Amino acid sequence: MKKKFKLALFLGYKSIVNGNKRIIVLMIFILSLAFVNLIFVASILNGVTTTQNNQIINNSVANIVIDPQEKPTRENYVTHTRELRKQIEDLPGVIATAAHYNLIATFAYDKNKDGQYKYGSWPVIGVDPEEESRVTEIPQHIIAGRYLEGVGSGDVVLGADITGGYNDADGEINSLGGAKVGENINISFGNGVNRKYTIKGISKVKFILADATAYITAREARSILQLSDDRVSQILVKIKNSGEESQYIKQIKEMAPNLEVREWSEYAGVINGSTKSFGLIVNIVSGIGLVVAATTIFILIYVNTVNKRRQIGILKAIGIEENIIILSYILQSLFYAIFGIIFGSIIMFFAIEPYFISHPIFLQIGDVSLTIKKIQVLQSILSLLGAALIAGFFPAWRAVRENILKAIWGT
Amino acid sequence: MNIDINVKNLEKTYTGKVPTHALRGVSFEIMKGEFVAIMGKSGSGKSTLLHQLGLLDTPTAGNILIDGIDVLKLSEREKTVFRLQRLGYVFQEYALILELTALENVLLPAFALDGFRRKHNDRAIEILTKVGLKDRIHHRPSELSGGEQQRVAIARALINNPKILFADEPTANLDTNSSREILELFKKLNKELGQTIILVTHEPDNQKYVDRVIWMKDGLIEKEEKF
Repeated sequence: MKKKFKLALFLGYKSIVNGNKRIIVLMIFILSLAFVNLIFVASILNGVTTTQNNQIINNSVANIVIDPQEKPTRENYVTHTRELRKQIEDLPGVIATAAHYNLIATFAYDKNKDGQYKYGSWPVIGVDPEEESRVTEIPQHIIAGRYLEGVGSGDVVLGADITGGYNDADGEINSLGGAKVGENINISFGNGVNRKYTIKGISKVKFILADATAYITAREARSILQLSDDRVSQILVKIKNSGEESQYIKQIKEMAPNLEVREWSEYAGVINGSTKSFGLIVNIVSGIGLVVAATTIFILIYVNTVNKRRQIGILKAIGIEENIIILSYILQSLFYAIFGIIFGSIIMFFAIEPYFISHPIFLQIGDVSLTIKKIQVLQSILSLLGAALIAGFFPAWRAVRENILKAIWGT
Repeated sequence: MNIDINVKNLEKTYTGKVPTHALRGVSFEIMKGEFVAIMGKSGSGKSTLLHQLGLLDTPTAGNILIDGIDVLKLSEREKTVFRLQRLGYVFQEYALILELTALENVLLPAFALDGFRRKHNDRAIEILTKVGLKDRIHHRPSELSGGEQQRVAIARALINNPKILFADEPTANLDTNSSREILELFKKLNKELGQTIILVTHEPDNQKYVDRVIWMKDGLIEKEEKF
């Protein structure tokens, strides 16, 4: 067996080393592109999903959301929050908690101070500025003015999609048309309260859910809603390791069995649906990519083997066993695949990935770069090797079954 | 003298719209150490006969005993091993592996039979020296003349000490000088090593090198001449 393998290796090695260099380079180049194709499309779609998920966690609802009781009776607010938050914050791995007050409001902005108001409805969230900075990244993404401070009322931070003028496209129609820091706007809340605010800052995290939201202080929100400071709309919980939400949810549910405790993904809504769709697209595209790669390898190696039909006939005529000839072609095929994978990886990790890190794609969910998953790379490698194995075997197997004289004389 | 090849009623018909009877019942014997030429006009069946004897093709009917073995009863794999161990081939168009050097081409059957051993290297160089290619062993076929390539093919055919050496019009693509050198080399191998050689040729002049000529005509043996 070892003797046969060595002979097959010898034949394969000589065929590659002394074969047509241009064909070898072309084969490896095409296989490297097939490999890049396998990883690239999946990575970009994974990048979209990863960006979405990160944005939801970092700029919308953190890792875990505690909502008011729904059963047996539906409550509007979470109560006795001080004790509960302390208990949660004491759990190992919990970074912080933050209270949110959720309101819906209509905004009115008189840009030219001529009584011609521009209106729009957006959600408003009441936050404790200090707590918020430990749970979301919005306070770190102020593109004009400053974030909320202390307990002050009368200030509002608007998402860039509300103010308008900060987006490359589509900003003007569904916005206040260019509201600036320091200017005043009128906000009418859903419970009938109307107040005038000064725009203290404008935030932009490049995530549509966060950039189309306004932020006021928790104290201001409580005054609008006429709530005591121990009642909140939601409690957000930020944990150290994303992916471990379920174990914290279990513990929080034990602390407050009546409350609704949910993972961030349940708040993704439409975005969550698109994440699932992207997952499906990734699978379909990867599957098609694999078929294309396998077909490409097969055609290349098939043509190469057919061109060597005479040589196969000669090898058989001088007494080289069929399985040695087949193995030599499989080894050649694997060689092309391995070098295709190596060069494909170099293209992917040293050219395409760095390019996308420095030039991310701008989408409404954020700046999307590539997310290359180890398991996907491994799957692509194994798939390509498997395809190469079949592509090396099948044409050689067909060729060795041919009549020796026909193979040699090409009749 | 012992019999090396015993052929009885060998037939070969190529099927198609019009079946071609290339061999119509050929019988003969070849002794150990004989140098036999199979001659005849184009289409007489001489190459077809050689292909059947060399196990490169399967006859339609008849028997072939080589060294006492009924070779037509062997499986394809057994035939391959038989070819490797006992038969040597020299084709009209050299049939060398283009990616291998002269030395590697010669070594290939030895590696297949006995693995990668140093002694094979020495023997391959010895044979290549014997066929006059001592200085060309590291050249690839594309760097050799037709005559040199044919000598590499002969060296390759000899590396495993075959019982029988088959040569199918080995000088057809060579100039007069190269042809003469190749045939003299065959004669030398036959005389010095007692190598059984079966040569297919259409050149009447080649008779002078051989012990016997089997003349073929229309798929049958027309006559035999001994020298």
